[in-house]
This record gives sequence, structure tokens and C-alpha cells, in this order.
Amino acid sequence: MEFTRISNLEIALGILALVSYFYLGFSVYLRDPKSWTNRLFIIFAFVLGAYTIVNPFSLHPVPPTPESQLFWIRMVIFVASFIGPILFLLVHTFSQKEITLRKKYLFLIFAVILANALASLTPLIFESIAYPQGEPVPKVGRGFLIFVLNFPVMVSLSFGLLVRKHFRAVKEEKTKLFYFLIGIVATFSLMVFLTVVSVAIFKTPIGVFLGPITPVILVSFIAYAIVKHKFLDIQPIIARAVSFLFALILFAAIYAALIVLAVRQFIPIPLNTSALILLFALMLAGILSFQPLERGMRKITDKFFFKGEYDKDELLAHLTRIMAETIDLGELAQKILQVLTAEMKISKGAFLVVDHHSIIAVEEVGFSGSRLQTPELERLYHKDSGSISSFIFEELEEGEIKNVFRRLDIALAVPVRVEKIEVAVLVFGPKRTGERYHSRDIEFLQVLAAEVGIAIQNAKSFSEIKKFSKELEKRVDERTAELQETQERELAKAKEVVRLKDEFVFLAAHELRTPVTAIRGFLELTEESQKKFPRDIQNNLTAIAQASEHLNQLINDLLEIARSEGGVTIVNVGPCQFEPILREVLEETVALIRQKNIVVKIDIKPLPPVLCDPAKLKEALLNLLGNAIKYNKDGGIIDISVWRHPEEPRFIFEIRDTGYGIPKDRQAHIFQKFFRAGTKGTGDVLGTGLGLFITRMLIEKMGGAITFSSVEQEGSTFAFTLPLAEEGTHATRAKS
Amino acid sequence: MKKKLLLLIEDNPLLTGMYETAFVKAGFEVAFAHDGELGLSLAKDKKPDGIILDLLMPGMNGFAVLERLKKDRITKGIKVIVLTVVTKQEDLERAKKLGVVDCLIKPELTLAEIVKRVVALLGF
Repeated sequence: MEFTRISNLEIALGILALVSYFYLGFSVYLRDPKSWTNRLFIIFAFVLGAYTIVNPFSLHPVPPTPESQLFWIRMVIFVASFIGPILFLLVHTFSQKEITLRKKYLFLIFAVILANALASLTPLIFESIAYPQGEPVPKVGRGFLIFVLNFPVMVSLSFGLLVRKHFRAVKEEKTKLFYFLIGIVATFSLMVFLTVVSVAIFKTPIGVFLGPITPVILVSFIAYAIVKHKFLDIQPIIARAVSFLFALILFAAIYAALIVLAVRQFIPIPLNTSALILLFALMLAGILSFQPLERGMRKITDKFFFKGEYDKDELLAHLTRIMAETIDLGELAQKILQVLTAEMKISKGAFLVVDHHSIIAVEEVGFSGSRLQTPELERLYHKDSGSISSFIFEELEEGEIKNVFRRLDIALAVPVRVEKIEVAVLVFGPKRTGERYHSRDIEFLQVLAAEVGIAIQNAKSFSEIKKFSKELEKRVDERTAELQETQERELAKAKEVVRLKDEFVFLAAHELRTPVTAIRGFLELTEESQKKFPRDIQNNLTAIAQASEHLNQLINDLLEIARSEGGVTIVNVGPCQFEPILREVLEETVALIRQKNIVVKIDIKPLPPVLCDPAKLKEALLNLLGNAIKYNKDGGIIDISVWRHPEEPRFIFEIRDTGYGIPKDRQAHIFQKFFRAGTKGTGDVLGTGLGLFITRMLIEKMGGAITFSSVEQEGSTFAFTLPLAEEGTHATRAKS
Repeated sequence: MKKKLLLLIEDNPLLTGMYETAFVKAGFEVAFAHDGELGLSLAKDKKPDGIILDLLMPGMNGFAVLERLKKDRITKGIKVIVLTVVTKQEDLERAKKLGVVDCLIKPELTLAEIVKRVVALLGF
């Protein structure tokens, strides 16, 4: 009897299938070890793995004897007896965490497995084996019905159930079941084609050895259905494949060896002892070196595909530094998210800033900001325990929140509180590696969340202060502008009032001037004929003349004041000689001086040209000299002295009289408008009370100052200073 | 010798009478108009040797009269003396720019002084 030797292709395919089963099985299982769907999946993968190991032995028995081949064929049936029921159970449980099949059916399934498995080891299913044409043909026993009842029925039932579930399911669940269905259809049709069709129609068992490979398709599809698209992230598969291959091959080898060793209890398989020892030694070395090897490989692959696994402490320090350096909320969130997504290989992330239980701002990297502003995420706060907790998509119960997570592609959410106040929800998308969030990730993110919470709180306060200060600034500006406007308006109003007043005074004074001019003119015309009038009439005419002079002076003074207060008095300052102006004034007043028998003493020191407006200076001098005469006693003295200031470029004019003087208590008011000292003895002196007021105004306008001193009944002294023209430039026309 | 003719344009009848008396006494022949329009036509008709012009008048004021006088070929050569109560510097300057020979301020001068100034300005 010749048995074909096992080919290298067969071995390679077997290893590939085995590695696939282990990889898919573990990947799915580790995503959520508590889920029964995942548990059944890995069991299913292991059963198929066992099938993959046993099947080659049935074609190439070890040892190469008919008994051995029959045994291996029985073993294939033994392993296969598990496939149907477990597939059925998996389909029934699919995507739930708990087993959904009722207990009695569960019991029934176990019974079927047990019966089939036990039967397969006895001649009940395959009695014997014959080689009619050199090809092994096992003789079917009476118990074969059990296998028929088990495998095809269970697979059919699974298929039916799957179709029914698919029809009833909606949305994502429907898609998942659809993948599952494709897997089953593809696998079994291929399996049927390769084994039954090829053997029955093409009369060649060539497809038989390919049989065990086909379930890889099914397993792949189921795995994909369970973990969705995340699973097929191609990058991590490549990245992990190298290191995992080692581990998986080792697992596969151990698994195979255990099966072979178990089988040896029944059939003596000759094994080279030294080879066996070597194998074990290799395995041990492999297992012992697996961890560092795996880590090393991971590091290398990570470095190649990503930028290395993140170092918790380093990352936290980095983020803490960012939080310390950044105070603007948006900038802070963006910086942290960018670092987090890059370092932790998270596809996307967002900070949902919460204020008074609602999301007020969203800072995101990769997410759609507007979609995240949803009240369901605000409600996460009602669900957590009060301290920082996290919500992981896979662990959520089916319901509203899970649906929101699904819809927005959120894998993890961490609501953050600072001193019991809700601050923000940190939201993360799935990892780019397709892995789930490990506990170290979650622990890290929780620690970070506490810090981020405080940083966000600070940033919020900062932005509030900034906003407040901006608002304040704006208001101050507004009010200032308002005030300025009001001020300008009021000022314009006041100016208008002043202008109107001046206009009125001006016009009124002019209206008054005309009749005064007429009175004075006609009096003058009568002058020559006056001598013919009786004495008393002459006296009356003189009184009228005096009164009209006074009236004229009053009007002139009023006009001067109106002009000055309206700002229209123009002082034409320029260099001029002082003495001639004084002489002119004395000439004009000489009649009055003689009338009162007053002695005028003059002491003028030589002066350079002075800076003044001659007309205004004359007016001021007339006022001062007029006062010194009017308020002097008959036969009094007037002392006039003029001299240059010893240090400054100014000169001083002083006029002293021996008149009635000004009482002390009234001295403070003498430069005020309409003020009359009313000193005893001056009752009959005509005055307007405007002379000194105007004098001071004129002197000051020309850049000088006026002072006085007085003793009642002894006399007064007035003095003013004016600048000399010799120094610096001087305005020829200063308007003030 | 022919007496010189003075045209007095002044709206106030009280003052007109007063000035007329004074100027006649000083040896002038005096014509007078109590408003600007009449003053202008009299100036054209009589071609006076001098015009004494008030600035503040109802209707056509002194400036308007002055402008028209200076524009007219016949009257532009006539010497114009302003005699007014106006003391605003800018008004006086404006009048001088328009070509008056002098500005006399009524309240600042006695009648005798005014007559003396007019005689000096017109050349007796």
C-alpha cells in the first residue's frame, strides 16, 4: 500500500489556515472577552484549526498503515462533529453578549455533539477502510446517520436561521448578518465544489486537501461581521503580522503537537525522540523569548508604520506643558487633541466644552464639530458615577447612547468634572490601529481628563475675563464718545448762546450810540450860543454834556467787554515807544488835572521799545490816569514812574495817587465788572465800574500783569508790567 | 470860489440835520439821502466832491452802496468817507479795501473834529 507523501503546498496552506484562525480568533476575542459571540467565535476558530491539523493526516496517515488512515479519518469526523453545532450556536448568539438559545436546546446540541463525537471514535460511523483502486474508501457504518443528522443539518439550520435573522434585522445588524451569510455561502459552496463535486464528477480527490482552507473565508467574514470595518485596517495587520506570525506559529505548533501526542495514546506514532526533544526545546525557547521578541518586533513595526508607541509619562509631561503654556481655550484644545491623536494613534478627537449642562463649544480634530453638539452627549453626565468615568463603545448597552456613538463613530467618551461642575466631555474616535482602547489607554486618558478639566476651566475663566474686559472697554468707549458728543453739543450750544448775547449787546450798544451821538453833536452845536444863555441854563447844559459823556463811556465799555468775552477783541501787539503814548494820554487829561489843581510828577527811566498795542495801551493808561484824577482830592499829587525790570525783559509802570483809596474789605473786588468802591468822598464821581476790569483785561491780553495796593483816605497805587520788544520773536498780530 | 458839494448818505434824520448844520457852517454845500438807492442816484446826478457814508442802514447797507459806487464809471472817482458807529475791526478793514479814504467813528469824535478831518481829507 502506497500513501502519497504530504506536499509542501499542503503544509504551507495548513499553516496559513491555522495562523489565520488563531489571528482572527484572538483578535475578535480580545476585543471583548466577556462577549459570548466572541467566545463562540474563538471556539469555532479553534475547532476549524483542529480540523486543519487533523485533515492532512487522514490523507497521509502517520504511520502509513490502513489502520492509521482509518483512525485519522475517524478523527476528522470527530472534529467535524463540533463544527455544525458550534456554528449554529454562534449564529444564534451572533452579536449578543449572552447566549440566547434556550437551555433545553442547548442541552440538545451538547447531546448531539457528544453522540457524534463518541460515535466517530467507534466503528459506528466508519466500520473499516478498503483500497479498491488504490484509493482509500472507508466503509460507512450504521451510525453514519448521526453525522448526517449533525453536520449538514446543523449547517443548514444555521444557514436558515441566518437568513431569517438577516431579514428581520435592520441597519448595521443587517449588514453584519449579510457578511456572515456571504461567508457561509462562499465557504460551503467552495467546500462542496472542492470535495463532493471534484470527487464525484472529476473523480479526483485533489480538492480534498484544500477543503480545510476554505473555512478561512467563513471565519474571515464572521470576524469582519463582528468587529466591522475596524478589523480590516490594513496597516495594523501588516504591522502586527510579522511579530504575531511568530507567536501564532508557536501556538499552532504547540496545538498540533498536543493533538499528535494525544493521538499517540491510541495509535503508536513513531517519533524521533531527539527530534521531539529538539521540538520542545525550540518551543520553550520560543515561548520564553516570545514576550521580548514580540515587544521588539512591535517596536520595530511601530517605528516603521507609526512613530512609536507612546510613553505614558512622557506624553503626560508633554501635555501638561502645553496646558501650562496655553490659555486660549481653542488653542489649548487643538494642541492637546493634535498631540493625543498623533501619539495614541487615535483617528479623531474632540473637546465638548460644557457650561450649565449644555455643550457651548466644540473643538475637534477629525470630527464634524456641528454634529457633536448633540444633547445625548450632554446626558452622559447623568450616567456616570460622579468621578471621572469613561464610556467605551463596546461596553455600552444597546440603546440611545450607543446609537449616538455608532452614528458619530465615537469609540470612547470621558465626561470631565472639576469640583463637581461639569466642564467638558472628551470624545475620541476609534484607534487608527483598529485595536480597541486598552485599559492603560483609558487609565491614561482619565488621568489626563482631570488635568484637562482644570486647564479648560482656567481657559474658560480667562476667556470670560477677556470678554468682560473687552465689553467693559467697549462700554467705556461708547460712554466716552457719548460724553464727548454731548460735551461738543453743549459747547456748541453755549457758544451759540454767547454769540447771540454778544450780537445782542453789540447791536444794542450801537443802537444806543446813535442817540448819544446826536445829543453830543447838538450840544456841541449850541456851544457858541451858550454864552448868551443865563447862567443856570449854561450849568444845566454842562450837566447834560457830562451825563452824555458818561453814557458814551458806558456804551464804549460795554462794547469792549462784549467784544472781549466773545473773543473778538483783537490786540495788535508790536514794538513801540512807550513815552509818546503816555504823553498823549497826559495831554488829553490835562484839562481835568488843572481843574482839580493836581500835581503830576513823572519819572521815566530810558526804555527800549516795548511790546504792545498802542491803542489798547493808551486805553489802559487813560483808565488808570483817569481814576487817579477822579478819585484824587483837590490839590492832590500823582506820581508816575516807569522803569525796566532789573532781570527780566519787562518794564514796570506805576501810578500813585493821594486820593480817597479803597477800603480793605473791598479791595478783593476792584477788578470785577461793575464794581464801585464807594469810598467816602467819592459819591459824586461818575463811573461805570468797568474801567479797571477792562484795563486788566487789556494788559493781560498784551502779555502783562497788573497789581495794586491802597490805604483808605491816603491813596492807591496801581502798577503793571509789559514785555519789552527786544527779546525773541514777537507776534505782530496776536488774537486771543 | 465854488463851494464843494458833500453828499451825506445817512438814514437817521436826527443825525442828518446835525451833520448838515455842521458842514454848512464849515462852508460846504450839502446834499443828503436817507437811503442807499437815493444816495446812488444822487451821486450820479450831482457828482459830489465827496460822499459821507453810513455803514448801518436799513435796506441797502453801506457796503453795497460802496461797491456800486466803485463799480460805476461816473462815481468811482468820488472820495468816500465812512462815518459810522460800527467799530468792528473787520468791517472797517473791509470798507478800506473797497476804496474809502478814511473811516470816522461817530462816538469817538466831536463834531468839530469830524469836520476838521473831512476838510483835511477832501482838501478844502
